[in-house]
Amino acid sequence: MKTVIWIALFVLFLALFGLLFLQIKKPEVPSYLNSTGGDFQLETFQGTMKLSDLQGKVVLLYFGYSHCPDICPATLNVMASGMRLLNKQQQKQVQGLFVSLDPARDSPDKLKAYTAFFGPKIMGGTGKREQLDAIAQQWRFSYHTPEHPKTEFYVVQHPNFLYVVNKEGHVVALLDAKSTPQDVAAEVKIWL
Amino acid sequence: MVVKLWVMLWMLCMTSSAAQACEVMVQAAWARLPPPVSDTAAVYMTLINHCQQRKTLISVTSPQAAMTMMHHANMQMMKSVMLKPNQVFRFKAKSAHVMLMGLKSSIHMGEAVPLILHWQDGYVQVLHVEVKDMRGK
Repeated sequence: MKTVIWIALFVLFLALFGLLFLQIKKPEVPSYLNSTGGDFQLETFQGTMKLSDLQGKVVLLYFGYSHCPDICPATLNVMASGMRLLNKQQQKQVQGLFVSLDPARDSPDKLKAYTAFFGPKIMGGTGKREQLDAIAQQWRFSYHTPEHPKTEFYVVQHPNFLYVVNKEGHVVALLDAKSTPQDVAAEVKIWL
Repeated sequence: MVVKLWVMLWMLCMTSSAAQACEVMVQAAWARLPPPVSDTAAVYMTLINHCQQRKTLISVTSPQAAMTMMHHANMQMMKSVMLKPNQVFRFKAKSAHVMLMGLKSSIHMGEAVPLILHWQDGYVQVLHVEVKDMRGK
């Protein structure tokens, strides 16, 4: 009888140790991401917010614009679907953020309605051109919004990858346009 | 002599109408349902040239949109799409696509959006593309 108890305790210990190991063991963040990112401020429908206000949550961050017909809605779909693959507890620890690089056409209210279309876990925000330029530099991407567009139907050049930001506000991974909802969910789970 | 001329004329007419009748096959055409606040939508389709001559798509228009453009994946404008005989070209998500800008009214799931393909030989091809809601897919 005693032997059975000892074996059961040993198995329990191994399981707990394994769980602890999985929690602690995070993949190494690529070195080029160490100098990418940082805090910034945005205008949202709820007022001014900082990225650091979301600390404690894993943030999926995408830069685009609402007049973008293909890659932005496709990526936001993947983002929302990926988050839906998580359980309720995990969903509480993740936040989608869509930053518009086209403040002339994307007001905070419009972005609220735009992001709500994809899912309740994605919020939208934008900033002044100088703010967005600073963010682009900090987050190491290039974009182009025409300063004096000849027509209202202009195109904005923007990055097409998803930044994964950990609970401490550091960029830990980039997901490219080929990523699936399963990829998104798997990446988020690592950092929860 | 007159009969010969008529036969030649008839043959010419037949050849020209046959050439005109040969249109590029369009398959799996659909438009992405945009969020209600957006007046921009992407259209995707597969073009298959079963004709014996090369075909060049020079523009796409739609009465539903103020402006329509063909774009590469990187959002650079695509001036034309040239298809050799038996060649296939795909406008697909996260890749080359047709962009409808300034939608005159909001489009809804299941609706058919008219699209007009303008070919270099003057042929005009009218189609209707189904609006699909891709959320959760």
